[in-house]
Amino acid sequence: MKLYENEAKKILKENGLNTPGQEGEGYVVKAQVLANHRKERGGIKFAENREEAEKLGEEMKGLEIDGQEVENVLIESQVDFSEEYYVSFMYDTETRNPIMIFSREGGTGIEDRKASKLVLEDDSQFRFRQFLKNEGFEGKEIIKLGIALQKLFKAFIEEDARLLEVNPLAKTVDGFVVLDAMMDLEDDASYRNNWNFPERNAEGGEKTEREKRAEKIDEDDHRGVAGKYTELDGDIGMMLAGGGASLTNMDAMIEYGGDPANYTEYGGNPPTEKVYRLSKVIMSKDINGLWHVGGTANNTDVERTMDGFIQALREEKPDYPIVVRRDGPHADEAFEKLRGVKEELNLDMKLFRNDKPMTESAKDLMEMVGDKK
Amino acid sequence: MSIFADDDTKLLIQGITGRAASEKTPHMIEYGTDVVAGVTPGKGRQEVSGVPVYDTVREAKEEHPEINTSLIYVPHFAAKDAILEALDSDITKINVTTERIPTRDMWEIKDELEKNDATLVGPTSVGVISPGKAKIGPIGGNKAEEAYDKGSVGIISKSGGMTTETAQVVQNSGFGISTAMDIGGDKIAGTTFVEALKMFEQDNQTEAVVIFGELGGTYENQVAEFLDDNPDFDIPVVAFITGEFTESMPTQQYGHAGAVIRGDRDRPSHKKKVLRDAGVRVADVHHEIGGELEELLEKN
Repeated sequence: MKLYENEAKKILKENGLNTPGQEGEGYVVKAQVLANHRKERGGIKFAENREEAEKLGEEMKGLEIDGQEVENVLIESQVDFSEEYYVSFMYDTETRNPIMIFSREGGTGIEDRKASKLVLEDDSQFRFRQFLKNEGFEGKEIIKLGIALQKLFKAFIEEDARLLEVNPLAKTVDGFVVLDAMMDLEDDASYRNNWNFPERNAEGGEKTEREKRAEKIDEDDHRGVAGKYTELDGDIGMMLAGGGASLTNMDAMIEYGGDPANYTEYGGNPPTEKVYRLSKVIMSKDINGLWHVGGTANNTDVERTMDGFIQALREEKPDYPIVVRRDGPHADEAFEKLRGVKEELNLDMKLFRNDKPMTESAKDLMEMVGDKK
Repeated sequence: MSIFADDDTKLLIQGITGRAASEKTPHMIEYGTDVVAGVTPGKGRQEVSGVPVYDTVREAKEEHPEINTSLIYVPHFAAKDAILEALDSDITKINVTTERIPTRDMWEIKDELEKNDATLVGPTSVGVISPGKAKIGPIGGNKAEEAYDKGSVGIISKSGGMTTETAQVVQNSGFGISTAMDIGGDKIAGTTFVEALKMFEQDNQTEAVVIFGELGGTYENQVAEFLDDNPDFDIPVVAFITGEFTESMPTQQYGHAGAVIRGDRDRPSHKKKVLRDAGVRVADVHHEIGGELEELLEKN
C-alpha cells in the first residue's frame, strides 16, 4: 500500500526522524495525492502566515491532480536548509539484500543525476559511516548523517516497507529533516502490523468507463479474479486467463500483427457470473476479432468459467472471428457447450485444446481476421 | 539423474492437513513420490491419504530419519517459522509453495539457508517434477504423467502456470523433460535461474535448458553475466521472456525516482538483448521455443 506523504512522515517521526514542524515563519501547503510532479500541477503552494496557508489549503481541496481528487492537504512550516540529499531503500534482486541509494544532490531532477548504491547485509552503524566517508563526507557529519540513514533503514525494515524514498533529506542547523517521503508498505505483511490507513484513491491517471465497470466485478464478489481490465486502442478483444499466460499471449498477439483492444487476466477459479461480466465488458468495444486464450488450468474450472463466456456470446451474437484455446478441469464439458453455441449462433469461431500451442492460436485468429477484411 | 526431485526423494509435507495440501498429497503419492510424513502443529497422530502426521518436524525426522526434502504448504504468516523448523532438523532441500511471504522474511531466511548449505526453491512455487521419478507440489495437477514426458530438457520457470505449458511446447518438438522447476517470481528467490542452471550442469540427463523469465528483477540478466563469465558452461540455453508489451502500456504510474535511477534492466526487451548477446537463443513467441530446441539439439 502506497502511503500519502503525511502518513509516511508520521511513521518516520515515530521512528525517531525529524519532520517539519507546525509553526514557523513561512508555510508550505501540500496536496496529499499519490502523484508525481505535484508542484507543477498546483499541488504545492507557499504561504506567509497560517491564515493564508489554510485558505490555500481549502482552495486546493477538490482539485484534481493526475485523476485524483485532493481530499487532504498537509500544512507544514517552511524549513531553511543548506543541503538536500536523496535517499531510498528497496530490496535488490542482484544481491538479494536491501540496498540504499544515495545522492548528495537531492531534490527535483534527481533522476538525471549520479547516485551511489550501498548493499545492506544488516543494519550496523559502521556500514553507513563507511559509505559516507567514501562519498566524501568528513568529521562529525559522518556520524550524524549516518545515524539518520540508519534510522531510515531500520524504519524501512521494521515497518515492512517495499520502498522508502526520502527526497529531499534536508540538512538544517537543527539536524537532518525529512522534507518529502514516499513509502510503499508490503500488503503481504499487514497481518503483523497495526496499519489503520483509510481507503485511498486508485493511483495512476483516470480510468475509462469500461475499466470502472470491470473493477466493480471484483469489488462485488471476491472469489477469483476477473476485474483487471486495461483499455487499449486496438481492435482485437483479449479474453486472457492466467497471469504468466496472459502476458505471454499479449506479446504473441502483437508479434502476429494484432492490435489488442484491452489487457485483462482472469484466474483463481472465478464464478460464472464474473466471467460473464468481464466478457461483456470486452465485447462492448467495437472489435474485429476476439481471442479467448489460456493455458491448461490447474485449479480453474474451465466449464464454470466458459459458461459465463457462452452466456455473453448468446447475448452479443458477434459476427467477428473468435478463437478459443483452453484446457484444464472439465474442459470436455466446456468444449461440448462451445461447439453447441457455435452451431446455434452460426459463429465464426475456432476451438482449440492443449494439443495446439497456446501462442500459435493467435496466428489462427489473425488469419481469420485477415480473410474477413 | 535429474535435479532436486528424484527416485531418492523422501518427502515431508509441512502443513499437510490444510485444504490445498491434503487435496494435492494423493496426487503426489499416485505419481510415485515417496511422501513419508507430514507435520501440522496440534494435529499429530492424524493421517492424510495414509501419510502419518506429526506435531513437529523433529518428531517426524526421528520417526523417519530418511526424510531429505520438505514441501512447505503453510499459510504465509507461518512460512518463515516452518522453513526455519525444517533447517533446524537438518533438512536441506526445501520447496516452498506458499505465496505472499513478506520480503523481509525471505531476506532473513536467506542467511540461514547459506549457513545450513541448504537449497530452497520458491517461494510461490508450484513445485518441481522429474518425470517418471517424483513430483513435489501441485505441479502438473492430478494428470502430471500426461503433461510431462521423461527426456533431456530442463525447465526453469518463474511462472507456475507456464511451467506445464512450456513443457508441452518442448514435447511437441519431440523432446522430453529431465526436471521442470518453478522458482517462483518473488523479489527474493530461494533459487535463482543461475543457481538452477548450475544444478543442471551436474546432471548428465540434461542436454539443454529452457528458461521462462518475465519482467521485473534481474535474475534473467544474471544468466547472461554467468554465461559470459563461464565460457566452458556446455549446456545450451533457450529463453523466453514474457511481458514485453507492458513497456508500451499507456499507464502513468506514481513512480519513484529510485526506479528511474536504477535504469531499465528489469525490462523484458533489455533482458532479451543481454541474453542474446551472451549466446542464448531467445524465442520471441512462446511456442517458438520448440523450434529453437530442434535447431540446437540437432546440431549436437
